[in-house]
Amino acid sequence: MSAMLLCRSRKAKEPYFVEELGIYLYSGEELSYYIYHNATLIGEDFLDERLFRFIGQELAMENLEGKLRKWAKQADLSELLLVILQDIHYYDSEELFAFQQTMAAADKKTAGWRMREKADTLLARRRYSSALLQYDRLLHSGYPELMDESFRGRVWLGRGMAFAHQYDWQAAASCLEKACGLLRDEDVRRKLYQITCLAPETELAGETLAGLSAEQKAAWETELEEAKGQARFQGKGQAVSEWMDKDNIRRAVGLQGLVQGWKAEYRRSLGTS
Amino acid sequence: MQGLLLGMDLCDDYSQVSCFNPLAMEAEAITLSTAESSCLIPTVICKKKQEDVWFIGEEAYRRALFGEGTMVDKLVKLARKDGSATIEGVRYSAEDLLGRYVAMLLEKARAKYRLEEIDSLVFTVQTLEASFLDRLIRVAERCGVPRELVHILNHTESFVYYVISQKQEVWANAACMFDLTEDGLHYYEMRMIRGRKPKIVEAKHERMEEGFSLDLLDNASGEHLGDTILTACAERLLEKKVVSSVFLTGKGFLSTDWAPNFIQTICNKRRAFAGQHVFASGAAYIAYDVLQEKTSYPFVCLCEGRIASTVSLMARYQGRNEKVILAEAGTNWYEARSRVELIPDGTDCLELSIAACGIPRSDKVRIDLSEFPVRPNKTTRIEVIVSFTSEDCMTVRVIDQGFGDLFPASGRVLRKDFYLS
Repeated sequence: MSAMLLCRSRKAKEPYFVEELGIYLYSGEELSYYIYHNATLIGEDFLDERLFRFIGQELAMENLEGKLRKWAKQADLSELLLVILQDIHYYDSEELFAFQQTMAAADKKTAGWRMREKADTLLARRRYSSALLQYDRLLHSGYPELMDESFRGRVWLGRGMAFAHQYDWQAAASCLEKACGLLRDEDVRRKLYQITCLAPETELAGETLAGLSAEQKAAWETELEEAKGQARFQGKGQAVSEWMDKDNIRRAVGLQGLVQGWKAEYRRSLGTS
Repeated sequence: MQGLLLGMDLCDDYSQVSCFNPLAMEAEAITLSTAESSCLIPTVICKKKQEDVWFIGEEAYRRALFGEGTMVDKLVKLARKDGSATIEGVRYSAEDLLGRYVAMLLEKARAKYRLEEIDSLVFTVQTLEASFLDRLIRVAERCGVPRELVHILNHTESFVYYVISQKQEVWANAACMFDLTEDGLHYYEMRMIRGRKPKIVEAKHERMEEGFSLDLLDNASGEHLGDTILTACAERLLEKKVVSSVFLTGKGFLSTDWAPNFIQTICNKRRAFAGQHVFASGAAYIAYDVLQEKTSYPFVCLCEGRIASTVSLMARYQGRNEKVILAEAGTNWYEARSRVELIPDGTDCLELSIAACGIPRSDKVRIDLSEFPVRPNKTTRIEVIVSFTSEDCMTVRVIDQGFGDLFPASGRVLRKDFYLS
């Protein structure tokens, strides 16, 4: 049911820093959103003094702080996360039920799976360096899941994508070649081919792209060109074009803001902020 | 008494100051000197020649008459139009002159009660205009009264609060007032509407075309003409109305001997009161009331300058649906400013309800939020600011606050004006 949520909670003067994502949380709603969508990133160490103080002093939710302190050493992490979500009231009962299910399913997963999910989440949140670190740890962990080709293939795919987002085309191509070999997925092959289009100097170790028909290559090249063209009218490109429509003074200020935002995002992706 | 609780009536011809006495629970008029029996203080200021010495009221007239200084009158009108006056080659803004005038009035009040602190200051003026209200607040600040201690009422509101502060039998049915000044004849009427929750007091003000210059009363035939005009006016206005009491105020009613027929008409099965401090005292009552936890006037006052409808929205808070009041009927339009922060959940439309006071049905108005950046559900925090530019013109501003670092704010603002009929 559509509605308006009333925000009576105050915004934190001293926000909570989330190291995994390199961002600050300013309100109870943001904390809820972070927990709900990034549960895979959250470990037992999340429930620490820093979080308790943030909830009690900055969000002025002394009751919740008291509950968490009391139960921190008795209850499971997923139960305590649920308590936080319930008290902030950002999610309704249906959403909380779904969260409970997700957490229950996650609890049943093996350590290897949980590690891969954490790496995938970091990749999705554009924390490429952190994601690479997780993928590398997983590959060297010796977890039994790595015996499974599909599992191993997904790890190489994620690793390849993280390198690609860091413009390390050669490393990305090497990872995707391994992923192709393990997954035998046409989509991964397409990604690899498009990397060679973006960076023609990339050298491939194997014959992964051998035997590609001229039609297939042309289709993927067209797709890449279309994506490049559309990028001007979406996301960052759209933001730039919106500021270009403004007057000189606003345009300069707006574009400066955008560049600063991108720099911050890039630094976060490298894990340097 | 901790500090002074003052009501100040500012008019073009005369001004008045009343101070609320919490021990006696009534307002007392302040005069400029013991010699002056009347609490009417001419709204004029005079600067002594070649000296930075200023006079106000009758003293200002006297100094100007003897050629000792330069006088400026109609200070309120001058301030309304943001005018200025040049004295000895120096240009003084109306705000500056009014500020000096008000400061001297406050000084008199401080001296009379031997109290420096002012806890509350309520101005009352004929009509409220945004720019003039801002000027008045700046004047008060200049006089050392912080803006949070300053309130402004129009004359209709002051009349209502003055009358309601009297015994109930005075206003049991309805009460009305004739205000005869150099400015003309003004008629005020108020009545309590029964059977509604919350209680409603409806008041109206009318500037009568029958108004005449007070110079007319300088001779017997003029007095007779004035009496005839007012009698006809009173018969027409009070006809078929159950009015408990009639108040007379303004310089024209300093004496009522010149209007025997008019007095006979208004006293017919009604009580009549003549006094000069209705507006200032009404303001002084409010100066006290605004500092109390619980108001002594638990009703909605509907009159000019007050919002006639309640503006609200429905929002979910801690899992329950709540009605959030953004502006309440009966609030002064210039004080009716509120802000609320919301997160749209599954909607890109902000819906406000506008309900006329005492009527259960409400009208809905909508503001489309689709101009804000597209983000996942519940990740846009919006700040809604409601303000008024008059009693029937509401401005709603919606500001995109984003969702912290997760979804940064775009800073976009949507603005929409609504006319509340």
